[in-house]
Amino acid sequence: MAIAIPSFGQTKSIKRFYNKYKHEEHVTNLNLQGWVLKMVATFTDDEDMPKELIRKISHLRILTFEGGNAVTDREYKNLLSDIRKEHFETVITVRDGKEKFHLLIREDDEIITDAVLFVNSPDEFVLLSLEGAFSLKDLKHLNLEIDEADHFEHVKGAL
Amino acid sequence: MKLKTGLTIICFLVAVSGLMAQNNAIEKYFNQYIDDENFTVVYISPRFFNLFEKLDLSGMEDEEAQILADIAKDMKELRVLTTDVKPRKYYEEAKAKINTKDYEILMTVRSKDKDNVEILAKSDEYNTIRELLLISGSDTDFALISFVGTISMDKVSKLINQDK
Amino acid sequence: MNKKEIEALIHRYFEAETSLEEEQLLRAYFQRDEVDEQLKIYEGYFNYFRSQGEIKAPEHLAGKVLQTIQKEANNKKGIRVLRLLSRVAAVFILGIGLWFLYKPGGTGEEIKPTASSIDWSKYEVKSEEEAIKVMQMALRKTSTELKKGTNIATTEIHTTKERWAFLK
Repeated sequence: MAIAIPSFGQTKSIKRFYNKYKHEEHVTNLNLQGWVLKMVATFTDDEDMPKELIRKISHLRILTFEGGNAVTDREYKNLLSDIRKEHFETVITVRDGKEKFHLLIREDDEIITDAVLFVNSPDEFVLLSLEGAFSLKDLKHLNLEIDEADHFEHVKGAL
Repeated sequence: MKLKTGLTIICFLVAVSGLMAQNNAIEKYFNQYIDDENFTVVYISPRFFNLFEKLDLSGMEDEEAQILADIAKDMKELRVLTTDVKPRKYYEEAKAKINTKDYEILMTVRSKDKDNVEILAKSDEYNTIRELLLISGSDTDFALISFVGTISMDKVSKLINQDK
Repeated sequence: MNKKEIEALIHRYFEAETSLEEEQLLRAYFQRDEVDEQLKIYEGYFNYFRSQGEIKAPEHLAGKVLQTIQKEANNKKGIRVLRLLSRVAAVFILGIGLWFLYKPGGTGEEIKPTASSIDWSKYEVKSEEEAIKVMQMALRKTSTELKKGTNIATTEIHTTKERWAFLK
């Protein structure tokens, strides 16, 4: 499978959100080049590490809030809608009590170029943003089950 | 005066400019910190790094020392600037000064202990890292570290994984 | 015409040895879009004959200056002297121009000369032991920080796996 060069580039809304909150109290933030992660992760003997997926990450961003979530519901809603405006689609939404989980992806010709995961709960907030060139199979390494049939139906329908 | 003489002048200028060129971020962006009395400045010249070239690495027992020496022998210069005065201010200021067209950001972290770090690299046309720059700022300290030479991330990651 | 031939013609021009035809060739060359970088500095001499409509100001200040010199050289007597003088100027300016061109590592915005005026020997370590200590500290710090960062990534990837396995 030829790896398409992602034509969208970085997501402005994610970047903006990340820059807005990175200095907050109790925030851990990370901005990392994929190849650096790959270089270090490759040497580890941890079998649980999804090396297949890591190989395909070109860039990674993490924002986590511990001991409290400073992101309001409204800001979160706006963020999700802003992200969708940048050609992302929500593929998984889960609600477990007061915890909300979202997975959004962006594709270029059936290759997933961006995957963004959110965990939004009263005492925790996580943003994990991956850029690269992934297949659905790669995302399954993270236990992210996207029903292939459903998913591509959706995409085709939109064309 | 012939064009030949002119060309000689040009060659001289080009050669001299090569000697005078700034090959590191400290001189390029952080000149004023060097004169700032709040800062401690340390420099290691090529002379010291040459010593590592002559070492027989295979004989070393201490694994970390071996990897360090292996990295050091490809290095040319090391510059370290540190201060304990207004570290967070210097950190933000320093980050903003760097031209990200020349220096690629490899990693930016802010961890639980609120320490901020940014690691950048400048590569040549063959994608070999010629300078590795580290900027760090915590509540207590600010540091700028510039490694100039041929930096192998392979070797650096060996160092990372060695320390378990 | 290739660069070498043009250079030779320019050389002869400054010796006041070129024929009208050859000067025409030079002007034609400098009216092209792809003038060699190193020769751009001479543009001012050769393209002031363009018609009003297509006059393009010479890109370099040098060109502008030399163009003025050329324009003011109305009398034949002064021409030889002026050409000699401007040739010296051209060589110097060309030198500076090439210096800017070949200046290693500089970004486009840095116009000021990049002479290193810092005497690093002032800050040099005093002994081999100190050098090794400093180097060790610097490399250890770098590897520790890289490790911290990559750990955050791998930990979060792990956590994500566990979370979504639980949610399935």
